[in-house]
Amino acid sequence: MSFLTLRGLNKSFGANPVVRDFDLEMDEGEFVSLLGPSGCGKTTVLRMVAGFETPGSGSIQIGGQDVTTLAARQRKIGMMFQSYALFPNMTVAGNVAFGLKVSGIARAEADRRVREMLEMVGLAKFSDRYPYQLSGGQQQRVALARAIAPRPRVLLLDEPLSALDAKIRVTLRGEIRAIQRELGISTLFVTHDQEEAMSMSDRVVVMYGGRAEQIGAPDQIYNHPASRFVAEFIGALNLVPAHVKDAKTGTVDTALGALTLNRTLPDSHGSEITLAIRPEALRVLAPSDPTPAIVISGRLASREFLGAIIRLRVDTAQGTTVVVDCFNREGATIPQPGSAVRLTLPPEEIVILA
Amino acid sequence: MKPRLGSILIVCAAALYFLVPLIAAFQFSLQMRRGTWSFDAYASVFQSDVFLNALGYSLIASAIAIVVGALLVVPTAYWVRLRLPHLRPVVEFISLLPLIIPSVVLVFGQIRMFGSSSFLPLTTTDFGTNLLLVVGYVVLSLPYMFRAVDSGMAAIDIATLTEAAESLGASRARILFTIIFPNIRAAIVSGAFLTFSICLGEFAIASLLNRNAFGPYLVQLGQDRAYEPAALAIMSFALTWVLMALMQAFAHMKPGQRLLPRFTRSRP
Repeated sequence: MSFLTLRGLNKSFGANPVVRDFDLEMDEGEFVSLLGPSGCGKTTVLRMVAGFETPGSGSIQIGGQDVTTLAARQRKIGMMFQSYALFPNMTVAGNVAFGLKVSGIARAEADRRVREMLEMVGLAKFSDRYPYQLSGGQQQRVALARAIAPRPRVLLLDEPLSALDAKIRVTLRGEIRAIQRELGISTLFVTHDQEEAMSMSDRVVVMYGGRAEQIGAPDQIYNHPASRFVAEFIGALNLVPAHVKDAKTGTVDTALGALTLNRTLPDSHGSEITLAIRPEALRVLAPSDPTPAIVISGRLASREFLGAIIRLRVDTAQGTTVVVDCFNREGATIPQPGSAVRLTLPPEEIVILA
Repeated sequence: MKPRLGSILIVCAAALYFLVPLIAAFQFSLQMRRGTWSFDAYASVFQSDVFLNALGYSLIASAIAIVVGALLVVPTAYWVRLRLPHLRPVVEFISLLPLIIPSVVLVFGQIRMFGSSSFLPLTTTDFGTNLLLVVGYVVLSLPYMFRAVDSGMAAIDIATLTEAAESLGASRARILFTIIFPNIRAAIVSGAFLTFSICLGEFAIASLLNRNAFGPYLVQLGQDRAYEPAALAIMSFALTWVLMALMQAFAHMKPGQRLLPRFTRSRP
């Protein structure tokens, strides 16, 4: 039985529905991310779990207890906010101790727990400082310690890394995940950053228009997107419209020429489908390479240096543009813009979207 | 950027307009003893029992008005900002009414409502009349207290702080007293000092309720004496400046900072 169950959640602000028929089941100790663009309803779902918003309909259960109408302060949840939300009038230790004091834990036990939490987030030396004396990353660590100190049943993270700079963001997401694993707290994480969601989560919920478009493990979502929106939202993508020519052999007519996908297609002859090709699935052929089954000819329009990756834009002979990602390895020969290129890809890496 | 000559002249003219009467009043207050300058007028004021009683009475009434005002305004402003933001203009307008309606109207209203022939004859007892005076002071201080507290709340993200505290299990009362009040302390102190200044010099309500407050005492003294009113005016100005300096100090104080350094006894 799942630990956190959201069933048929709906929420509207005025006449505007923001969450529609949202279902989710989370196991104890699981880390699930709600991922989606601004306005997709992910924060509203989190706020309903926290008790800051009341669902229009549907139910929320934590550990078998129906908390749908329970006040936020009675839900035993821990929460981290984008703006840290540390109490400015309290020291670091005071902030971490707040939830423990509220729950009436004995002073000695509370002090021990505060020390333990601050050591866990590496801020034991800063216990007497005030929030304004800390950096953004340190403040968010204090917020994490404060949220987990009372041992909540569920940890809710509302874009806690968005206000931090890139390097600290990467470090802190690793720390949050390690602490979450160590304590085994069921965690619901809201983010619009797909890299964060993919790197931290056991499962990702991709949301769009108030609905869960797809729920699955990060690799499943990336490699097998259930819809065009998920495919486009997660990572870069080439979308190629196609007509089914032979469903049995998987031959399709596309703007890149005829392609054989080596699999039986569910659609009949003449049906319109969309092929999704990840930029990293495409490979630039060297002149000496033998000609494989799929070859796409074109001319390199531009190349973009992205650090570990070099992104190429290739204008194909059929008049469409495809994006290709090459690893930036020393000695790799990257063609010059304007030169003729031949691309290939394994047929099994082509995803068929309905 | 260099200040222009015109600006300097305007500032100098304004300073003279303000300072010359003050210097003149100060000089006059020192001339009680003939032929020499002295602080006799100040000594005379402080030796008067009536002065001390009036000042003491006004200080206590102001302090109670400040506490009642803060307890009334802070939860109201907090709730309006948190849950009823659409009602903020209405509450703001109500808080400004004491600036539009003269205090004479307020006190006449009080006397009519709570006079000897009313259903609740508060004016017939000392306690009741004192209560009416404090209520009057609270009403007079509303525009200043509400503005100060509301700006203080605008400076902190009360909605997120409230949610953070709620997620940790805190009740609304606990949030109000352990998070909201301490974080708008500077704003409350500013409002308190303004309330204090207004209550100390208030005449109409105290006089018509026949209270032995500082305002009526000042007016009475001005009619009876020559030098003491000047000395009192100078002392009032000094008190106002001290309060303004304290307001500034509190406004710029960060959590954990002390207004004065802690004095520790050195070990031998």
